[in-house]
Amino acid sequence: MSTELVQLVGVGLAAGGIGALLGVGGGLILVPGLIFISGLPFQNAVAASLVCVVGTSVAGSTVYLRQDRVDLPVAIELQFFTVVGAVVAGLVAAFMPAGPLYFAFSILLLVTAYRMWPRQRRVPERATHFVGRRRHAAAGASVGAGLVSGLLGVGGGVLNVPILHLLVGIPFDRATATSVYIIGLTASAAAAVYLVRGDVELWVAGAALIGTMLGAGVAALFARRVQVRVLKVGFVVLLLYVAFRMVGRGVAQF
Amino acid sequence: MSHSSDRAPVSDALGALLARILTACQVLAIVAILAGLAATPSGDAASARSFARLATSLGVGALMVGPFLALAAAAAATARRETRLAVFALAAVLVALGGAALAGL
Repeated sequence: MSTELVQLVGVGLAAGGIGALLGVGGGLILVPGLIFISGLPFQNAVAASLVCVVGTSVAGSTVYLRQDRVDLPVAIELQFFTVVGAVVAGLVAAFMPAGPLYFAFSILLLVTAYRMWPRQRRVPERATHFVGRRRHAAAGASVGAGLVSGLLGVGGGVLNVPILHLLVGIPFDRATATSVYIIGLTASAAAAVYLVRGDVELWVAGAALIGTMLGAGVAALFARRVQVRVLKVGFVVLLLYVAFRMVGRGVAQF
Repeated sequence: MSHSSDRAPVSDALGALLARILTACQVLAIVAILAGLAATPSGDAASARSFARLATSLGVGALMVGPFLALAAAAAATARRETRLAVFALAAVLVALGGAALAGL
């Protein structure tokens, strides 16, 4: 059991660290990690992963809020829409045909990766466009991010960060910090649904949580020292990795 | 209304308040989960197992409540000057609670 404990803390450390830096929850590492280490069924791995995503968010947000890197008005408004998506996803997850969703999600990620690749195009500091059609588009996209979060056991950050950066116009480093804050409530809402159903393996989730909180807290402290370009390249690589995995999952459904 | 005009009334103090709330939840979660994990290896006895389960549940619960407490605090803090934000915050909490209640049915 102690080897399993160390492995769970280790996978949590990696997921929390990467998640806090890139504005995602780390569920993309956690779900396969938990299945591999503890042999959890997919549904239980998703449930435990969502609990850990809350850990990433809480530990990362604590640092980012103190550094004033979280755009709270945008975060609070968009949180509502991600929660709606996450709750709906948690309730209907068992009845959804997953195959087509995986393919659609992969295409979306590939397009996003292309748009996110660092170029010379500058996004002016604080020149956000959280008004009119962009505000409605961001709200709709946030519902989608919540759906993805609840269905796949991830924080939804892979969509939140592009929404905040490309659509709302928040600078990339602030977008990642704001996303880390948003995913906490999204994942918590989705995890609550799984928890009530009894899908959360508490020991596994608890062990991985310790790692995610430690990893996210340390990574958030050092996030300011990482160049935005490096973060963007890392994020695009993450998007491509997720798209690849989603295609694999989609193929496995048929 | 541009976003930058939204931002000004939501003061840095709110960020600091939310950070304190989340820190408190995090500390409680870490202590409880570590206590639960420490009790597990010697958990042959039923009492040790139930303690481990209780402590881990408490830790996970404390952590999961954190974002909701933060949102409720944000709603309370912004209710007078930022009614729109307060409404969104309260609605998010209600939707999440409703979802958990529906799942429990």
